[in-house]
Amino acid sequence: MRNDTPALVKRITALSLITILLIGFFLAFKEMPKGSAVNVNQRVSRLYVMKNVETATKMMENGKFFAKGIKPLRTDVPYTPITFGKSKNLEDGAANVVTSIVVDYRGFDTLGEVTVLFLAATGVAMLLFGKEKKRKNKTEPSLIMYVGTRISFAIIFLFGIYIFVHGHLTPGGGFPGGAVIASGILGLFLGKNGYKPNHLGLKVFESLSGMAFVIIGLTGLFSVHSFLANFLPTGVIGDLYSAGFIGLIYIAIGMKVGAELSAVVNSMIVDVEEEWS
Amino acid sequence: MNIFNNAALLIGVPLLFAFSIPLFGLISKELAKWVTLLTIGFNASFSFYILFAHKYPTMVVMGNWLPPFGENLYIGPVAAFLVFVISMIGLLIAIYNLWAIKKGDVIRFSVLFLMFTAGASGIVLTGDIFNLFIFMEITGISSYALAAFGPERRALGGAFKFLVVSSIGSTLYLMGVTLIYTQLGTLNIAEIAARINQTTPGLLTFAGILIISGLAVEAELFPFNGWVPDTYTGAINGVSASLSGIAAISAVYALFRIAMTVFGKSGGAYVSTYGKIDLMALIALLATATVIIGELSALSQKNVKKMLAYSSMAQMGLIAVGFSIGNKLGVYGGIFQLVNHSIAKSMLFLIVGVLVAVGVGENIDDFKGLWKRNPFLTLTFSIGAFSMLGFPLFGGFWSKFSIVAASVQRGGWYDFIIGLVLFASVVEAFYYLRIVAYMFASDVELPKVKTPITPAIPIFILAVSIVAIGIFPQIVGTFSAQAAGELTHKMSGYILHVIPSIAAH
Amino acid sequence: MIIYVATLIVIVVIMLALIAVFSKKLLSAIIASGFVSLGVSGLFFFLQAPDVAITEAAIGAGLSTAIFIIALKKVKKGESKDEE
Repeated sequence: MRNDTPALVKRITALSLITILLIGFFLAFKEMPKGSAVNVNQRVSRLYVMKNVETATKMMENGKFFAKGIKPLRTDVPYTPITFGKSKNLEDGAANVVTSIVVDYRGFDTLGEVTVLFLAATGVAMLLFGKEKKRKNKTEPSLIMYVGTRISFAIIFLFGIYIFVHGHLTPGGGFPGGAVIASGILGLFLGKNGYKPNHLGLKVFESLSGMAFVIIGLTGLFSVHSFLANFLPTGVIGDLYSAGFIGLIYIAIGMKVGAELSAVVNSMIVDVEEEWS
Repeated sequence: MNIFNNAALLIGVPLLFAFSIPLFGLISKELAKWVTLLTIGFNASFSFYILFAHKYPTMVVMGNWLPPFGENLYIGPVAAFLVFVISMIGLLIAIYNLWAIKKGDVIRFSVLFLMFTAGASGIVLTGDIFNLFIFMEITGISSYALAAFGPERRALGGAFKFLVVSSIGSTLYLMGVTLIYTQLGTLNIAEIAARINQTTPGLLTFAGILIISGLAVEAELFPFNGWVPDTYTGAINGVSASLSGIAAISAVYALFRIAMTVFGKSGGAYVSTYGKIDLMALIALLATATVIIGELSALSQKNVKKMLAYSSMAQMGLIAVGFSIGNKLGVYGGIFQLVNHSIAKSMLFLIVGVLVAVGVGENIDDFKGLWKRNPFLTLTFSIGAFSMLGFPLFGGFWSKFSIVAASVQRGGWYDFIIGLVLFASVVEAFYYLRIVAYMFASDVELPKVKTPITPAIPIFILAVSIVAIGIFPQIVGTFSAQAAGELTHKMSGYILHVIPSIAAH
Repeated sequence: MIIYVATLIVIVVIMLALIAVFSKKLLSAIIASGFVSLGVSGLFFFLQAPDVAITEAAIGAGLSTAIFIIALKKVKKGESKDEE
């Protein structure tokens, strides 16, 4: 669509495209079988049985993997309920199921997500690169704002750290924790004209925490022979020191996301003079 | 089930160095560029090892969880070959960047370029439909930022268009993935592919259209390719070269991995898809429109970069036509043409970059009499142009020939499509030969220009490889044939290597 | 009970989204989209995804709104420079 197209035409086109999408979704959902009519065995993957490489290899060696007698859902292992604070050496060990999926079973996706955020921050900083000019605002923030942001920053920072350190126990984790910390730093920017975070520190922090994530993954590769595999004991469910490497990874993610989002805010807020010639 | 977990280093090592380049950059800007070069060099040598010395198809298990449960990378004939091509072209462009990128934020540019290459190889390697989305985002976000890099204002406009269109595309893709997930409860490509006929056909068709439209943005197919001319023209030449050489490969791969392996029916002379409409036929229609529109728009361009951009669009259409024929010969031709296109088009963009830097310019009129001014760049540009238009003895000949042969083999309405494509090829020949004629025949007297040594190395290697492929087509041909075998037989080529026990269910 | 609250939030969110699309002033569009994020984060909470809700509230309603406003301020500064 060209620049000189009237605004009404643009809006009508956009609305009709959205309507087509909505109609498509409506028709698609209408075809979807109702919840009660669904055979769970059909919808949930039947192969979600042999999850671990070790178990599968053992069963393969025993000739059981392809045998016809095996039921789709495992019945050979008796079902034991998981008790908070008592159950030990579970498959994953995180009390927060979302965390164990996000960091353990699909940890590679999370590494990718962290990289996406890193690249977005890097791209923003690259585009706004140049010699820093002094910021001049028309109004100085009031004393209340200045003192208030400084006090609340400590609390927000502590809360952010709490969120990512307890990622495997309570809702939350590295991404929310880092975002909370960055919003505290945004408060510091608003509280004082010409506030400057330590640029070198942010850069080093960001790099080191990102490298820590990859190094944890590589440790898995060299100790358990699989990239991003859990190489620590899973402990008792509900303890702070449990769930293996999830805690370590969430600390790395939290620090990285916090540093990155602060860097984005910083590079957006600072005025620069472009250096191309 | 053949597991080779160390291949995770193909993703792990670039990530580690991408995170650490800011630290290297504290020491020196040059060091950042060299770290990028060496890391891509590691990827190139490791993929060379896999392609020639290691047994494949093989698979990488992530986090010690077996495929349908955890995530995996699958290295079949397609992935092993394409990762090698991507890393080699990335390595050559990194050598060019050593010379070309001097001003601006060099350190962050190196980070983005490294992750752009690694993300493209990730798309080709991954065996998980959501992980594919993540790698699409990695490649996409780094390419928006790379496209905006440079002193010129036009770069920002092009990059912004690319960002908006591409974000809408990835949203559509994600919606399609969600719809499939509600039906099958899995994200693993092999398992979805094996159980795709258990979904309701209407929903499957809608999801397929959403996914195909999302992927068609990066694959430059017709209604979704409005960003192409502005982005390619605006970006600096090294970035245009990597967009057409690296991103193109991963985009086409993703499109046809989904269309042929996930949605495809196995068995039969050619691949067609489940659902109410045949997605392969849909792609064939879009691709034909792309070829014709691209070639006709390229004809009227006065700016060589814009002309190359439209030509790139048309070539992607031709590649998609080759794949969408769906028989083994067509897929063979498509992969062959994909490799030829990335080699030749990235070389042409690098040459334009050198010409602009030494003061010749990027308009067609500036190319007049170039033979007397600089024989090396004239010769290499002509080699690239001849390969593009499928001249015998150059790489492009064999691939175009097999695409035409495949469509004749398939018959039916593909005769009509290939007629249109051949007409477009005539147009393409006209505008490429016009430039070649300008370069050789014009008698304008202008001062000679020197070729800088560093960018001449990648251009020379690419030109030699085009001629080598033209004379010995089996260099690429053997790998393309294996890859075509994998794509056209989804059960024996893909699914059974990832989840062997699926045969028992 | 919760279903009524959730329905109310959905209606408000849709109205705010329409305001964000159709408003002539960019600032009000940005603020409306910030409130959309806040409402959506409430919906996530009702859908039993508290962690997504925290992230959406911190990033969608907090940081990205602030960054949009900063960007808008910069764009306006550039515009006024061009006029001079």
